Amino acid sequence: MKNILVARVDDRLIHGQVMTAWIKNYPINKILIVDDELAKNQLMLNIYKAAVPAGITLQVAAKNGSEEILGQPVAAGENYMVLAKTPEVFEHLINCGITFSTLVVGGMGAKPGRKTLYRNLSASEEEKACMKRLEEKGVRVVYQMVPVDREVALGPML
Amino acid sequence: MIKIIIFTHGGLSGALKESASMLVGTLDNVECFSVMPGCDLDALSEQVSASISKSQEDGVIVFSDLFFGTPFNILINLSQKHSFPHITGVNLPLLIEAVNYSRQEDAALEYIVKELMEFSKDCIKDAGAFIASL
Repeated sequence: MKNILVARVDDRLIHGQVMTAWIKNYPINKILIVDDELAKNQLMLNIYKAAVPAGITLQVAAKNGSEEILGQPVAAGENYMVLAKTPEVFEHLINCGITFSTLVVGGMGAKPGRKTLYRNLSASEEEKACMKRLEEKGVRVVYQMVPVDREVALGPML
Repeated sequence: MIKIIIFTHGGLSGALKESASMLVGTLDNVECFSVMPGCDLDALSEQVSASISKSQEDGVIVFSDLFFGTPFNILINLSQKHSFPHITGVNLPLLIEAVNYSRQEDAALEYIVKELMEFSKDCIKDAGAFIASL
C-alpha cells in the first residue's frame, strides 16, 4: 500500500495553501486528487498538472478506483498527499483497507445543507456523521489550514 | 461599454476598484468578486458565470489576481462554458489602463487585450535602477 503522508479535505483542491505550505513542509512527491468531477474535466486536469512544481507527480482519480491506486505496492521514497473535497472519499478509502493516521480538514466552505462547524469550516449532518465514523475507526480528524497552525481536534465537535 | 470583472482572494478586488476610482473617477462598468475564507465556491462560481454571460454582447474582460489561485482556477473552469478574455496578475496600473480602453467607443476586445499584455510587461519598475538611468 502507498504511504499517505497527508490526507486532506479541501474544496479548493490544489491552491496557494497546498502549494506554498504543505508541499514545502512535507517530503511529498505524489499528489492524488480523488474527485469524480475533476477526473472527467480534461482542461482543469491540465491546469492542475501545470500548477504542480517539478519533482511532484499529480494523479487524479474518481472515488471508485482510487483505492486501487493507493493499494499498489509502495516504491522507495514515495510519499503521497491525498486531496478530496469531502470526508466521505476518505471513508471510502478506509473501508477499502487503505490506512492513514490523520485526516486534515483544511477547507469545507458554506453550502446549502451545511452549517458552521468550526471557524471557516462548514459541514452537513451527514458529513459530520462521516467524520465521526472515521474517528471511531481510529483516524484522528483535525482542522489545520497550514502546517504552522496548531491542529484542532474536530472529534468533540461532531 | 465593455465590462471589467475583477476576481481575487479576499477584499483586493473591491479595494482595487476603490483605489482606481481615485484616479479615473466613477467605475460603473467594473464588477468585483472575492473568494473569502469558508465561502460557498459553487455559488460564487455561479455569480461570476452569470455576470460574464450578462455582458457577452457588450464585451467583458476578466482579471484574476494569481496564476493557479482559486479565482484563476474557477475562471478557467468557466471558460469551458463562456468565451471571454482573462488576464491574471491584476494590479492598479493594469486596471487603470483597462478602464481607459473600456471607455473608448469602438475598441475591439482582442486589440485591448493585446495592448494590456504589452503594457503589463512594463508596469513594474525598480525605482532605484530607474533613478540611476536618468
